[in-house]
Amino acid sequence: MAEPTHKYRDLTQSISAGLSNLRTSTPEVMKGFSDLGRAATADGVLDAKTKELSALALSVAARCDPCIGFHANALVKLGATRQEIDETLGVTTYMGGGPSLMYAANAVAAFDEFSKATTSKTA
Amino acid sequence: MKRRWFNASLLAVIAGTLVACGGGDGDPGPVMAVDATGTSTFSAGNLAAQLGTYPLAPLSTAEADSLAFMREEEQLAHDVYAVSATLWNPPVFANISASEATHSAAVKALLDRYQLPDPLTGLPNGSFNTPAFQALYDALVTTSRTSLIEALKVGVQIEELDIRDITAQKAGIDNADILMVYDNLLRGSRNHLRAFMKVLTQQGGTYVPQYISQAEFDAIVNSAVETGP
Repeated sequence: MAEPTHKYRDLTQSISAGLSNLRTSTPEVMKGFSDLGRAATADGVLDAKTKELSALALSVAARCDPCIGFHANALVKLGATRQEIDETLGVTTYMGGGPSLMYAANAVAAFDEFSKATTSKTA
Repeated sequence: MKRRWFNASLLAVIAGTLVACGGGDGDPGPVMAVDATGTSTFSAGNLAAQLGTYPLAPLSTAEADSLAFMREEEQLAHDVYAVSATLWNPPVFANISASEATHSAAVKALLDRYQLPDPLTGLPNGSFNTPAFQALYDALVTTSRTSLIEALKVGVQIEELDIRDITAQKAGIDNADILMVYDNLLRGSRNHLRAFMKVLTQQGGTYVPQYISQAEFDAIVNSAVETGP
């Protein structure tokens, strides 16, 4: 069976929709998480792209497919190159071994999917 | 009325509502309230609280462009209906004009959240940054002045245009906070289309859709007011 064309976009949007209940039932928790994310990924000594590359590496290490999708999309929007993604995944695999390598392939697929979508929108 | 005043007032309302809420746990309430006529109004306080629960993800060029576009398109609806409200008796114009001001403000809240410039800064009602919106506004106001029936048809036309444009722009948007606001804008536009069509039919007028299919148009008009997401 062929893989769906928008696998990671569908996955991230599904997760976002699923979180809507928590936004309503525990808004302070969700706001706290949002504020944490905003503070942690803002430009500083490390720029936002470098921080998102770290987040992608940790998403792979944690085997979190939705996280891989969100951070791959963020990296596309921040102008990351495929070489920057690949070198980050190299470090991830060095530290995490074979299982990380398997999810590194997912990260590449997610980045390519969002890159292709962005290219087709702007073409 | 200068928009600068309007924006400052809105921020005061948002700040006041947040203070009143006390920032405690619990459901912040619906982002949009819908009355029996279908008039769909954003709650600035509830929207601000809801937006605070979303991550601030990076923005694509398409998303930034879309926010600027929708800010002007929603404001155009307000400005046209505000003129009609001074010309014609049915309260639908004043009611939906007031509602559209909150739709435009909701998009402005997103522009502020992403620290993007507001294309309408410093412009009075009826003036737009984009020439195409200015031309559309001028044409629609000219038509609205000719008769009540034509003004109501302009109302249906604007809502139909909004439905087409928001639907198309959603395809290029990933950020969940923007999609949440756009989904509410869409629901509001469907409700406002129903409201204008109801009064138009009562006045003996008819309308042929220009931007969406007849089947989609009929499905909206023949369904009930949408009170929830």
